[in-house]
Amino acid sequence: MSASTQPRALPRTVVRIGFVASLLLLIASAIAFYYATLAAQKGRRTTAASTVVTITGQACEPNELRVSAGRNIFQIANRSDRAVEWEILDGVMVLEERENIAPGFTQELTTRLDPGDYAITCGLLSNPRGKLHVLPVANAGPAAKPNLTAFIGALAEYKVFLTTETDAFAKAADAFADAVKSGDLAAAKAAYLPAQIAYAHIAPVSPLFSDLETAIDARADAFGQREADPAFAGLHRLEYGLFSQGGLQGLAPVADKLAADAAALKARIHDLRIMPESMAGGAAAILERAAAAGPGFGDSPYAHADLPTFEATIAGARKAFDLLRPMAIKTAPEIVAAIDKDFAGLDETIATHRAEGAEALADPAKAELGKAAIALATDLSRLRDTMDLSQ
Amino acid sequence: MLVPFLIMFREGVEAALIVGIIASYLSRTGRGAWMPVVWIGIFLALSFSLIVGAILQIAAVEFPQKAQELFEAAIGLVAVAVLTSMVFWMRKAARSIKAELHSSIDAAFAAPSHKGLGLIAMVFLAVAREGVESVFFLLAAFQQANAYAPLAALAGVVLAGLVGYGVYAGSVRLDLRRFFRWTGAFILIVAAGLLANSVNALHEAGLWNYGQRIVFDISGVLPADSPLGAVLSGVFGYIDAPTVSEFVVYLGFLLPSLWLFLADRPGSSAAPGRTNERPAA
Repeated sequence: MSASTQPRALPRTVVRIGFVASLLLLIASAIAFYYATLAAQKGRRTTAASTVVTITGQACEPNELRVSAGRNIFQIANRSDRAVEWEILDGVMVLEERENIAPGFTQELTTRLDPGDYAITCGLLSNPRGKLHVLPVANAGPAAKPNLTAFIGALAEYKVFLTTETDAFAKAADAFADAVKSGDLAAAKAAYLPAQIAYAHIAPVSPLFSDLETAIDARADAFGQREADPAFAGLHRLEYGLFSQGGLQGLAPVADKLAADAAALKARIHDLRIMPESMAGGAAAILERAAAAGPGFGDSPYAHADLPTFEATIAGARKAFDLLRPMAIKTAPEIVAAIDKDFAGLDETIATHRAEGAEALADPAKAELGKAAIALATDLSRLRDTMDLSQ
Repeated sequence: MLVPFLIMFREGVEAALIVGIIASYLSRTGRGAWMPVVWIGIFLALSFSLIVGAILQIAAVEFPQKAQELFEAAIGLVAVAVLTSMVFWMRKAARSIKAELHSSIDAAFAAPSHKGLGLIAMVFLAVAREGVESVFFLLAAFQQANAYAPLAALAGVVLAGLVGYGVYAGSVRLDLRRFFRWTGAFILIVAAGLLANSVNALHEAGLWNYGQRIVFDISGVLPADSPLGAVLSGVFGYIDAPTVSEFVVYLGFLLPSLWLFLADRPGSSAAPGRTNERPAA
């Protein structure tokens, strides 16, 4: 062009070829765009119900909209004589917008909305803003149902938690077995509780490996001859031997079996596919079980470490709930609030008993904690049903 | 009819202006041979916009305005950085040449060619930035009942292209001294507008929510969609009702950079021994 000299000779042929090639590409994409437009036009016309908003010179008509939560389609018709942009605002934050709507144009905006009250802009800045009320969908219709992809992060984090806790359980089981086999009753007794607590943390998903669950955590009631039954094994068999019978005789094979089961559980958890439903539903189920009155309370019928085992069960359930919370609070904020209250109440009661210094609990205390745990379990089940997690 | 024309004109000018500035810069630095490459950048960006438009239509997805705003903000910020560094680099180079004796200053610019390639990339980004949105606006225009709306919108694009070419052709005619001094100041004002509009785009993308109080509202006096408002907003990023953050960023960028650029002191960037040459303008 204006340059009289070429300081850097660009490879002329390459530039020419590039020029022609990019021009051809432009023509090709214009043709592709044209056909895509035709195809899209045919495919359309099956538009679902939409909300029409007309922007006049002074305001939106209607100036107050009510829609249901979930996917919404807005048809924005500009009947003013100015170019407008239409925004849905949450406070100052722009949630969605459509720009450059020329006078006489109608444009569409499709978006998913959570329940709440929003503002909408209506043309000129000086025009009053409209209101958009997004109402929660009754009976938890499909619109309120969180997408499974929303849970990916929570599920991954829960998997990490389970893996860590299973590792801890396997280590505790090994230590337990070593203590039992070395004949050290005091050490064996001391090794019991850590294993029980680590196992209680992963209990919400125990229905997903029911064979190992039976081998590790079955209680004497499940056997025909109760404690005397030769099939009675696992954590509670060891607990029974150590704390009720006060000896180590016959426990070595049981301890070895427990360590082997713990190792198998590690592999099983590694391959486990968890769904959000097992997080909420499993937590509820395990709480109900831990709350059972009587000697089974807190899963420590012989050692009477009622408080720590109960607390560990609560902690396991809480982990699952905390991970579900960001999704749950959108769908069912009032249930989340109820669950928070349940947990806070349990924390307080547990702290009171801890201050008293007794691990074993008297029956009235068990009944009180049991009642609170049942309330929590009920709310967790409610959450599972409302969020419709069984997808 | 006027408004679709003005909307497309404004969007088009935002892109054409950056392309025109870069083209004139390439040409004034003896890289006129790059001009076909500038066109390649434009063609590729237009193809990109059309292909994105085609894919979104086939996927039955409507125009993702929020994603577009983020895209616009990011490229706007890159453009501000590129334009600003270009201006200051030109200023430094201008000090060390005898402008009157050279119609072209190729000898003075021994810049590596990746700088040229970077500018071509900027051309691509600047056009793609407005291209995707324009494709959807045109599409909407074609789907309206009014048959003149799409024609007016297309006319807006064409006029914007002419403005871009005018910037190029006009600045090529200026003598070098003036070119460096006045286009430099002009580009800084353009960059300040780009920066303020990028802040606005970040807000509309839902990411920046501070300082959203309106400083003043002159949309009644000079609306951005009036003919003059469209020219001003296309070229200088005029906003008829700026928010606090847009206003602060605009002045916070423009005042210091203009002062640095126009202050005719022997700055550290000047070549020693040549600073006694005072620019003529």
